Order: sequence, then structure tokens, then C-alpha cells
Amino acid sequence: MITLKKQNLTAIIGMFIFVTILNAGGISVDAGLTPAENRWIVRYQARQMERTGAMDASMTTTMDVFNLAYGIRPHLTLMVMQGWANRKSDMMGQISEFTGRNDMMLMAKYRLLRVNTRKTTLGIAATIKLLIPTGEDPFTSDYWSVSPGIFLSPRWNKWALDASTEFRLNDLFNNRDDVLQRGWETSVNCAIARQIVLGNNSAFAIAPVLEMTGSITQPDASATEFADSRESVIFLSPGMKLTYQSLILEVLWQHPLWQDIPGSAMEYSSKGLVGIRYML
Amino acid sequence: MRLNFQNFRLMILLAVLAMGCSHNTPSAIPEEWKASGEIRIYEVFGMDCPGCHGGLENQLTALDGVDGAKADWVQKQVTVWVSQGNLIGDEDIHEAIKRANFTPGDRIK
Repeated sequence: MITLKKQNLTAIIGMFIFVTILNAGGISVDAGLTPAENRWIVRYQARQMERTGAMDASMTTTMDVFNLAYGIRPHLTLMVMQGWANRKSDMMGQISEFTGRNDMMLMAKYRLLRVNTRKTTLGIAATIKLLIPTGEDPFTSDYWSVSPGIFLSPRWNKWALDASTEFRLNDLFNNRDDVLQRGWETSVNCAIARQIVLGNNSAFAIAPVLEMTGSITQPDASATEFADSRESVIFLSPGMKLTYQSLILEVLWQHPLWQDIPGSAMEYSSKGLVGIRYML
Repeated sequence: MRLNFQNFRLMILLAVLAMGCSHNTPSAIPEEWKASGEIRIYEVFGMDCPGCHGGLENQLTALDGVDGAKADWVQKQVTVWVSQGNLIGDEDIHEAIKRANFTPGDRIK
């Protein structure tokens, strides 16, 4: 049963209003326009994130994430994503470290609208993501999740704006009332970028990027609510993309602008992301 | 195999070096195109970065009768090298541009 508290509804509406002011796209989320038919996109990202808590508790997670996308039709793109993670935790001097495979994610992106004119482009795409619990403990969720979403991608001359939002329903195949009910999650990502051509060569460009990401996670629930599984966070993320022909290098630094982390759960610190993308 | 940030820094460095070493002027029309065949230039709308070039060029060179294609997202155009004597029509070129998710404009040349 999905419940929506007034404060969360306000936050969601707020994020959508924000998206209309400053749109999202590009580095931390696979937003944007659908690629050409028969085009392969190979992408690798290294991510590092830290969380800190009371009494100097800390947790550092590094992830290697591989993406493979294929334009099966001009209006339909399929993608598979697989990551591996390493997590080091320090809880009051107790050091622990885990390494393992993350859950696999499949995604389909369907172009609903694409209008190209001499100066502007507008793209709208629907997406659906399926998270399959193929990961290893403690990096698996142990349940299937599905996330419908929508992308909005306006372009104006060398400016690029992308906004995306998705709603994640967790534990799809759990029909029992007597076990833990997983909370849903919703997120909004918005980014703005400006392509700058380097020299006289149109095949070489650099693009400063500013992303804003917000997410709300509802608490898991059984007979009593597990308060520590609820969280809301907004990241502001400056980054850079360097494109040479079909090769893109990307760097992003995500800073938590605001967060509401209840109870004894750890707060988010900054995240770092470097990536490389090749389009065949 | 796991990659960490140190390995990735090395990858980035190698990639940047490779990009620098292969730096050329891809928008220039090769001499061999001028020697034979027909060169056509079409307006193309919807390209927003250099990464768009490859998708469009692949669609065009997949056509029978097209020996080469060079896109330019800044100029908003693509130069197509058509084999000598080939009667490929503008409609076929336009369809290939659409398969790359772009919109064909006027034929400039």
C-alpha cells in the first residue's frame, strides 16, 4: 500500500517546480535523447561516496559501473547496467570491508516526441527500469524493483537541458501482508550544460555541467515503522564533459545541499564520479 | 576484474593522450572525395554535440552508393560522398538522417 505524507508531497511538488526552472541531464543519470538506430554505447563510471554518522562512524563505498546501451530502433533504446562495489565501514572502531557484485539493472527508453528545428530540439522519452536481485550480499536488495520514469530534453543552440524523474516500486512480487513492506522511492534529476567548441574543430568540445538531484525514500514498514529507512536528500553537482568525436570523458562532484536523514542513520557526504563513454 | 580510481585515472590519461594524438580536422572533405563521385551537402537539425556525428555517419554509409559521410554539428550539416554514377535519391538520404533521430533540412549542394 502506497502512502504519501503531506511533507513528502510538498517536497515532490517542489522538486518538479525546480525542474521547470533548472533542468537535469547527463552524467549521474542516463537521461537525454534516444541514440541512432543500431548505435551501441559503452559506458564505464567509477563512483565514490561517503556517509558519516554519530561517534565518528563512517562508510566509504566505491563502485565500478558498466553500461551497455543499444538503439534497437530510432525511438527505442535498451540498456543493461552492472556494477561492482567495495564498502569500508568504521563503526566505533570496528572496521569492516565488503566487496561484491551489485544488482543488475535493465532499462528501456521509448521516444515519445522528438522535434528538431534549426535552433532548438525537444525530446520526451518514457523509461522503465527493472532492478533484478542478482547482486551479492550486502550489495543486493534481495527483491525486484520497477521504476517507470520520464525524460524531458530541450536543446537550444549549444545549451542542453535534461530533466528526468522516476518512481521506484520496490519488492514487486511480495503479496504478503505479514512481512516487511518495502517503501517506494522517487527521484528527480535536472541538469544544464553548455557545449564549448575547442578550437576550429567541431569534433572537439567541452561542456560544463550543473546537475541537481533530489530523492525521497519512504520507510519500510511492518507492524511498526522502521524510521531509519526513510530519507530525503538533494545534491548539487558541478561537473564537466569532454567530447572528442564518439568518446566522452566525464567528471562530476555531488555535494549534499540538503538532507533529512532520521534517527541514527548516517548522513551523506560528497560523492565523486568519473566516467568514460564510447559510442560506436 | 575490478577497477578502482587509481586505475581509472590511468585510463583517463591514456584516453586523453589518444584523443590528442588523433587530433585532426574531421570536417574537412578528403581529397579522394573530390577526385571522383558526387559530393552532396544537406542541412541536418538536432545534432547537439560531437558525439552525434558517428550515429549519423553510420546511417549514411550503410546506404548502397554512399562511400563516405562527414557530419558537423556546429554547421548543422552533413557532407555525403556518393559513388560515381549512383542514382541514390535525396529521399534515401533523408530517411537515413531520420533513422539517426535527426531532421533533414535543405540540400545545400
